[in-house]
Amino acid sequence: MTHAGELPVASDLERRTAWFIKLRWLAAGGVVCAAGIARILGLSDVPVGPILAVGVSLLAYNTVLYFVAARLSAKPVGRAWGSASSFARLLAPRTFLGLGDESAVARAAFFAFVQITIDFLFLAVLLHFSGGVESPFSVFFVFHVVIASILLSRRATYVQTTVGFLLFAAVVLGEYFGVLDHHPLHSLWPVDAYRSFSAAATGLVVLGATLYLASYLCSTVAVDLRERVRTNVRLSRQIADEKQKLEVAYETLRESERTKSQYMRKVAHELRGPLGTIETALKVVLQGMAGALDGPSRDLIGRAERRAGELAAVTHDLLLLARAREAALGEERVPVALDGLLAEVIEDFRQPAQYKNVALSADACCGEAVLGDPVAIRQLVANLVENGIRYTEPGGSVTARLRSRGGCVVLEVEDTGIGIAEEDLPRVFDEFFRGANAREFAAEGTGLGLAICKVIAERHGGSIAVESRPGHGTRFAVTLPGAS
Amino acid sequence: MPSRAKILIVDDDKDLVVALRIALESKGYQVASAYDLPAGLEAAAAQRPDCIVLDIMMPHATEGFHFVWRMRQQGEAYFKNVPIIVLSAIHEKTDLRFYPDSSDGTYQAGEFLPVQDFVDKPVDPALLLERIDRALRLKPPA
Repeated sequence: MTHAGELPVASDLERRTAWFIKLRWLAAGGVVCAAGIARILGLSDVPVGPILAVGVSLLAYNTVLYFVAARLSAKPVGRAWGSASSFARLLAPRTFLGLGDESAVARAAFFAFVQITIDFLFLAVLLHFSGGVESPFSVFFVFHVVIASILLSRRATYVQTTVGFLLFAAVVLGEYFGVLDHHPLHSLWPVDAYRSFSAAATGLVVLGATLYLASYLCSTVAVDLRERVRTNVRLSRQIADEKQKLEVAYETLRESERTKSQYMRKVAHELRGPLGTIETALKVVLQGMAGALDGPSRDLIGRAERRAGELAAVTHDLLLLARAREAALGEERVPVALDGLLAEVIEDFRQPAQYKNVALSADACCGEAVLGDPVAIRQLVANLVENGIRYTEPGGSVTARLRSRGGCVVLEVEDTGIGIAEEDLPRVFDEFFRGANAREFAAEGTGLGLAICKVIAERHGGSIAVESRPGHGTRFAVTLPGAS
Repeated sequence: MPSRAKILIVDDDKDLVVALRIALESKGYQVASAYDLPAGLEAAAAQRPDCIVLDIMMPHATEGFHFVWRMRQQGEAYFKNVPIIVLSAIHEKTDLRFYPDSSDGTYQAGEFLPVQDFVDKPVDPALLLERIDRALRLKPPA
């Protein structure tokens, strides 16, 4: 993640400066080669010595720059760059300032400014030894203007353009007025215009116009591009901030969920003991062990015992739900063979199903295991099968199927029961939700069983889905990632 | 019916003990009770009940486990053989294995707890009586 303090602007400038240094190796090599070729071809009017000297000096100068650049990028930016060097900050592209690492930007821009100035000097010397106004190398001045517009502020680019133009003018005018020698390249470039006022003036005007025009065009594009970089940087910073806020909010939410769950577990735990005792005590009375009961007393005690049982079932399911929620993700997981587990659960429910005359069957043609908590997965499967039996009329059927699909294990539990109304489908996994037809059909049921299934499935990296046709049946499908 | 057999109930829930006492006495059993581990061990040693009904989760977490081990560790045959029926809502009903999900770390999942039977809480008195009856019938002769 990009942090506000380490925006890529300064390093961008440094990277481009390094690229500039690489280009200079080519230029210096080119100058040395040109001198060599002139020597080989025997071009007697080419001042090989001075041109070679320019090339070699350029190589030496670039070597120094190479090491300076390496040192600068390794060294932290001194505090002086941030406060004292307002000059350097004039050079830096304005669009890059105010984005964080201001002193680093100023230092990188100053470094680039110095290089371009020295390059112009080299170019002017080269120009002088290759024919002055007649030299084909005059177009090279444009390159530096382009580079300046990329690396520097618009104002600094115009300053550099002026430096380049003045150096060019100094060479042209120096030769015109005879202050400087003229080194014609007649063998390559058979013109002899340096003493011509119109040639010198045209050369100056054309090159001047070219330089300033290039400077204007390039810096316009560069300013625009930099503005976009600036916008991107600002946006990414905003995104990072928002992300952090979201992370904090998410963490708070999770913490409050955890607290809620712990609280729920504690309450359920506290309720369970007394409720159990109430149930047992009422059963003792109801089973006539505490003396004979008359009709109305038996009826009332019976009702109380049934309600205590319902309450006990809710606390039991609340505990299961809380435990499923709180179970740590890093909890030790073991391979659980779902086919064996399914067979056991079906066996557990065979009697209740027979009692209700619901046909219960399993079709497990997948031996793949899942990684997880065997007790929790068993709970999930049992809840679905129990649900199926509960909401299916006598004569109906509940079928459990196990399939392997794309690295996942899919468990389907399908019944021919009462079904779920379409408007209720999105809420069936909500805590305490029971559809109107479910409440009407079966009095018992805590409304927590499917919520528990969902928590367990999701805790194992899986999911649960439901489809139903009211009056025809319901199919739940649990998808869990396979152990392999 | 085993007449006048003596049953010891070890449970910290006094109301539950009263309810179970009424249920057991209605079927002719003699009932003794204790509400914690030391009192339970003492009552077992002094009164030599024919069967013990034991709660696992007592005031100090899993005292019931310790009760069982302390009983079985004693050299005398009586302590090794007296039927213990555990009242617990925290076990999985697979054989006699006990999977404590809030143990004090003394027991590992899958370890056997050397007791005769489990009856889930909330206790169904009729079921408990049936299990006590069975445990007494299966009990090796003294």
